[in-house]
Amino acid sequence: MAESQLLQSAREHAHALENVVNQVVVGQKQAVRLILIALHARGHVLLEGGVGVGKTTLLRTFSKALGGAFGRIEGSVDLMPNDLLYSAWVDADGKPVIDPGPLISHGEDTAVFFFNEINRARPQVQSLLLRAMAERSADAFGKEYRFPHMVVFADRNAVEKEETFELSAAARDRFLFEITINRPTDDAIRRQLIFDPAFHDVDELLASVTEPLLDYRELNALDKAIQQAIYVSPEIENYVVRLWDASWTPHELGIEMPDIYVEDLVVAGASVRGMSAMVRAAKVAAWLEGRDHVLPDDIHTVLLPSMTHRVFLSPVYEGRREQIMPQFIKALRDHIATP
Amino acid sequence: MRHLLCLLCVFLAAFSHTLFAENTAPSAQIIQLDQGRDYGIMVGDVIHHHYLIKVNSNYSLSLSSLPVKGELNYWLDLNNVKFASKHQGDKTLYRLTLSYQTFYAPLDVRRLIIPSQELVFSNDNNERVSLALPDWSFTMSPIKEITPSGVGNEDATAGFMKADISPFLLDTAHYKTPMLIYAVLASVSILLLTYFSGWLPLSNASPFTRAKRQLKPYLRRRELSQDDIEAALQACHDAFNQRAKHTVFASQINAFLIEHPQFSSHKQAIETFFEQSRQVFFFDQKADNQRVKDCYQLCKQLAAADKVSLTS
Repeated sequence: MAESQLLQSAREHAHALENVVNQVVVGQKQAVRLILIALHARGHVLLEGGVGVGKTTLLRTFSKALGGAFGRIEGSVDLMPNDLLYSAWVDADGKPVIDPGPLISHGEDTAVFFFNEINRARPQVQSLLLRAMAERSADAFGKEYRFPHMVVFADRNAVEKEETFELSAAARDRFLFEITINRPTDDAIRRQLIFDPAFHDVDELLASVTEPLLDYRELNALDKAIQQAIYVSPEIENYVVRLWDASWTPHELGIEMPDIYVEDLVVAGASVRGMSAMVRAAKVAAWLEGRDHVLPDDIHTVLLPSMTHRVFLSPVYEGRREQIMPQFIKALRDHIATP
Repeated sequence: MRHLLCLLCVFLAAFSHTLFAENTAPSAQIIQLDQGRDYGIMVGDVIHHHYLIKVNSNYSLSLSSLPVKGELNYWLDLNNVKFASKHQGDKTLYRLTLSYQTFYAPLDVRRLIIPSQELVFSNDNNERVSLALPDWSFTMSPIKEITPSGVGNEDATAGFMKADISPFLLDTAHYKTPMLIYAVLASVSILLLTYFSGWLPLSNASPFTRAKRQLKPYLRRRELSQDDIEAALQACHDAFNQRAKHTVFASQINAFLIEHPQFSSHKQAIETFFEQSRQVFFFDQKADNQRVKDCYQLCKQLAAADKVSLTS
């Protein structure tokens, strides 16, 4: 299968973007690759991790490298849905002025909407976001605002549980990936992050990303081209369906995990939307690797981030989700056979 | 005078006899003879003739003169010829045993003769002395009636026949224990052999041995469909998965080889197999029969390498 010129040059741009982000956010190559995949698969990304591990920096770097307009809001317990749509202020004459809020202010130019600490926002706010994410539109000022190129980047603090609202299942399902950001394991990188003055000032660091490296307006068309160009064999289809079945009834496929009663582990497995999104992402992963067909390796690349927030665990195991889900995905990978 | 002449003649005769007797004293003579009972011998009986022969020490028995074992005539066999010698002063004693077996089946008592045999003794000067073993006459008895009482009676058509003698059973008691031990050892050896060769269906045979077995039918076929080739490759993948106890993907080959170092020398072949398998399964490439042959060879090599770690 001959690859089109468009896909080749787009891949070069994508790799250039990846290199730039990797220079700004060091030690997070896997997360960077996953966000790059999500961008090209037109999926929303939820980042999870501790405080100060670079979640926001990572998302800001991507937003800047992507070009386009950038909307941002901080999650807080008193944030209301209207705060996303309307921005109310008092002008110099003392008159109240209501402008479009951060979600709609840039309209079709919105490339990235960044929701910081999303789990601090109330469920009402999360519900509003559902439509914005799924349909890429919102109603305000009596009309519909559309932002077809928007992706939502959200992050949440996994450690702090006070005054937070767990994302609803429907809201979580709208995110293509949930990516866990851990502190870097490589000693040299950790030293660099702590002692190198270049990493002390984030704004200065981000200033090194001077110009957009991708045209956000082309990403939708590029995604379509990728989805059509990359071949998925029947074998991969079978594999994905078996993985899906296993995410619902792992015990029936003989999956065993230490210290876990697998029969009681899963309440509900991955959704249809989740599996189709995973395959889209796998195709992008194959494309980024320079292949025109999907391999199990591509599925594995996107399996954990696309399933980890979509499988609902029974309450007894929910508290340990962060530890259990990687084990569960590994067990799926080890037990479900494919060539 | 006549009387004197007569006396002289008698004396000379007597003296010359003495001289003759000394000169012609036999160099070999039978000094003892035991031929056993010469009657009541029946068909199949073995007749032993023992001779004790004395010869001058300077003579020795010419072995070629000993009767030859075998069939002497249509009814008499010489089964065995045994002899032993012993020096006694200036004489040598030979103990000779001839074992005959008669197969003559007489209907009445019959006299028969075992013919004489001639032995030859020779000395260093190649002087020979012969000694005849006398013939032996004996009578043989029939083993059945001439006219049995049941003859003519329709109920006794087998009147001539006697019931078989119950066979003599050899005592096998002292063979029993060793036989049992050897039987158990043989069984264990056969079991071990089949176990290590992977012939037992439930044995801990290498999964590659099983894969090899699954692939064999495909080798015999000339035309293989795409499904057949995929099934053959899948069998090999299953073997990898079973060996690793989890699914082995191409990206995990190195980890697999670290875990199972016995396959390290086949790394190149394993990588080639995974690459070819990818082409077939995920790239929808048409495969030829050679893929299956390569796959079979790989399974064969890995099965051989896996024998060392069957217990793991």
